[in-house]
Amino acid sequence: MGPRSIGDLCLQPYSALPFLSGKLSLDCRKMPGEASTNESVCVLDDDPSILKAVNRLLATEGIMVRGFSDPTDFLAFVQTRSVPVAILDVWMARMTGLEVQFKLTRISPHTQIIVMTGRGDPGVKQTATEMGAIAFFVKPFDDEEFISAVRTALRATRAGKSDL
Amino acid sequence: MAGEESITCRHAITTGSWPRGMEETREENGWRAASTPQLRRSREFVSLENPGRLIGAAILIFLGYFFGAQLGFALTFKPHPVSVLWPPNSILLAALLLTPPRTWWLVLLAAFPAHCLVELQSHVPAGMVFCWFISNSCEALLSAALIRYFTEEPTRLNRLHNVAVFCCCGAFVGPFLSSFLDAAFVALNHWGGDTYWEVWRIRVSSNALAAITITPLILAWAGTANAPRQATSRVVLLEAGVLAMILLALGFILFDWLTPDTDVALLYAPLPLLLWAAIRFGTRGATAAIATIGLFAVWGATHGHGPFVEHPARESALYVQIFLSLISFPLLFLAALTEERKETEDVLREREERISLAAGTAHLALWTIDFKRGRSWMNGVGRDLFGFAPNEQLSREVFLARVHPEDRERVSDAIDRARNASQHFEIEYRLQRESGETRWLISRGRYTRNSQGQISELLGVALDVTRQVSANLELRQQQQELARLSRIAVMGELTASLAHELNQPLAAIASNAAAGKRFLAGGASIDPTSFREILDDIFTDARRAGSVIHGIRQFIRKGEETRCSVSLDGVIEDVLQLLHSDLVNRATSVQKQISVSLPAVQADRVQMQQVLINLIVNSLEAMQEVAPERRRIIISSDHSNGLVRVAVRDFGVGLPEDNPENVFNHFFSTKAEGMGMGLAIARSIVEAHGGELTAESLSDGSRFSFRLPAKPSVGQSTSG
Repeated sequence: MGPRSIGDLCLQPYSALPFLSGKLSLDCRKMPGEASTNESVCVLDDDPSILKAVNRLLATEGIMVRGFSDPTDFLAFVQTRSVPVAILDVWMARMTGLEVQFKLTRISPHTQIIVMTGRGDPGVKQTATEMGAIAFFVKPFDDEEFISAVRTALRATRAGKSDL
Repeated sequence: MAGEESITCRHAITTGSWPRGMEETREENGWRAASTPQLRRSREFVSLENPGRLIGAAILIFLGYFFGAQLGFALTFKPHPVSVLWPPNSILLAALLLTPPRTWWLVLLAAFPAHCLVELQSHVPAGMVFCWFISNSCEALLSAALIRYFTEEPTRLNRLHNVAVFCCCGAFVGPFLSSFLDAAFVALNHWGGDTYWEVWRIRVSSNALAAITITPLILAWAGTANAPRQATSRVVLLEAGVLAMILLALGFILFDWLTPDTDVALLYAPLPLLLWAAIRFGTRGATAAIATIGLFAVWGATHGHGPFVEHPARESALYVQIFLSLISFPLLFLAALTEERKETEDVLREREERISLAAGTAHLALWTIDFKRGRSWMNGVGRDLFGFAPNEQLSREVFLARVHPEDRERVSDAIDRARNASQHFEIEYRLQRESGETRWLISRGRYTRNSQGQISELLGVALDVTRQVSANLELRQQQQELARLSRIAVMGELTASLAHELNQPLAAIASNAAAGKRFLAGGASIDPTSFREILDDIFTDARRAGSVIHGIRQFIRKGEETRCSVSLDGVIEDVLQLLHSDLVNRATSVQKQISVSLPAVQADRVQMQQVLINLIVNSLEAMQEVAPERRRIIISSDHSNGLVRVAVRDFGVGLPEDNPENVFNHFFSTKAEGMGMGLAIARSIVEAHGGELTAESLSDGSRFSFRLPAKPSVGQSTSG
């Protein structure tokens, strides 16, 4: 029973939070060991420190990360580029991660999606899983499990590619 | 007739006279003791309302006039018909003064047959009898009218003014003028052998003497004006009896027993007794004593005894008259003075009793300190409260010794200021009783100065407000506890959001730490700068998590409120940080319109946060049913006229139309799960800070604003 429309995913539809408007401009493309853009993992979280920390964590495994703090920017990026793995935060100021996931699955059905959230909510986990999320993490999460999930996702992408 | 009735009515109102029956009921109920002397004095007219009393009064006047005349005849020098004292006119005057003018016709009518009877017995021709009645009536009427005119009705001899008027009009002008008529009648009727002026002189002196001795006696004893106010004790009765006995004995010895060659100095012997009577027994005593001595003197003189018989009859009569008049006048004045003093004392005592009663009922402590006389007074309630012995002399020192040591200096300063400026003072302080118990008191007092500008008296009152103070304290504690519980409740509602606020930095810390660990484990050479960055980020996030926890702890901590200088801008920032997740969760945007250079307020920071949180939570709830794109809160702040204002405006359902103020009532809630305490608590907090919280309905939502007094900026006088 997946969501039928985007409205079902709007747990709390987005709205502007001007006091959080300082946009994050984190350039992840210069991370060492970047092989190709296809290999990169996109992370979407409106909290800059999370973005930075996840970026560092994945970098230790040589995984390239492209960070986004604004869901709109991310969706625009997805329109033009292939994104193998996306890690989405749920509670963001402008749009919930579940909305982004719904749109993402329409734009890029092959993207492997990992969802993380700051508040444990069984309903959110269920919805995300039903929409095809391969992993769901409640912050703060275990680094091994997280990396392993990302690796699994990357492998799945490669497998999908080789299948193609 | 109608006119007369209305006059009667007015009279009854102005003099406060009561119908007889009613008066008795009042006295039975003990009203008499409480009624003022003014009232008591004015109820003195002998009431002639019912026919029985009317006839009784007429008979009394008839008898009085008749026997008065008989007495007059008895006190006449034989064989010469020179009357020393002619009482009928004085009795008539007394009757007129005792009755209201509208019944004067009756007085004259009752006296007329008595007059005729007496005169006809003496074989006086009918014409002369009638003429004398006219002149007698004229004297009484003239005197009575003048006395009434110059004194407040009804005339009683218990005040100096009345005695002076009585002596002038009743004992002088009346007899003086009417005697011209009388002498003229005698001359017209060719009665007796005396000349016009001889008749005039004899009549003036005898009538004047009667007026000064007989009329006051009747006036004093007929009404209750000169009656003792309290029931006469046995001791007083005994004293009166002794005085009467000595007076009678002395009168007998002096005017009946002694021979004419006795030393004139002995005539002064009754003086101490007369003074005794006047001072101890007032007008009643004085008039009775005068009448007694007068009767003895006249009786002796007219019957050939005592010191006055040596001279010819007319001279003797004159001497007796002069003697009696000279002692009567001053004695009447002295008696009136005594009565006035007694009355003043009574009024003062009654007033003091009434004040004491009222103060006792209200549990007020009252005191006065008379600095000039070095006397002090305090009512029983006050002595009980302060723990003063019944006769303990009051002073500032003994008072201050009972004030709580911490308040002593402040109280002393306040008293000093009031004393120097001769102003009222009002101090709230604690009293430390001997038992160790502390009571809260409010004292008000006033220093008065005499005409030389010296402090003469201190009047003060103190009220025990311990119960109110402790009730207020308890109420405040309850309010604080309620506010705290409400903060905990708000925190409970926000748990999920708060968890998110904490989990964000914790997740960043965990990831950063894991990254660092992995870098090290990888064995690769690591750039120290990058590693330091990781540690810096961990530190920053740890601080961030710590501040979230600190904020929550502060918000729900239990403890006394602490008021300090608080920037409401800072409070707005704190609250928005605390509510960040919830606002995100509810997809509500917040717009800030903050005034630059907002002055600080003197407040408890946590309570200010609570006010703002409650207002924002209220706004969020008001917008639950509103389309997401319209969910917006505008928080604005500004200041004007020494007030700082913070407003929270939402685009929700608005206020109840019938009574917008309802939202501030406890337990008013439009939500099924809400307790409806938030706004009520917010208002009580703002009001406890000397501010106000108001709500206004707008076309597309509502606005809640609170105003607090701005704290004076540094450099500005705090008192100004």
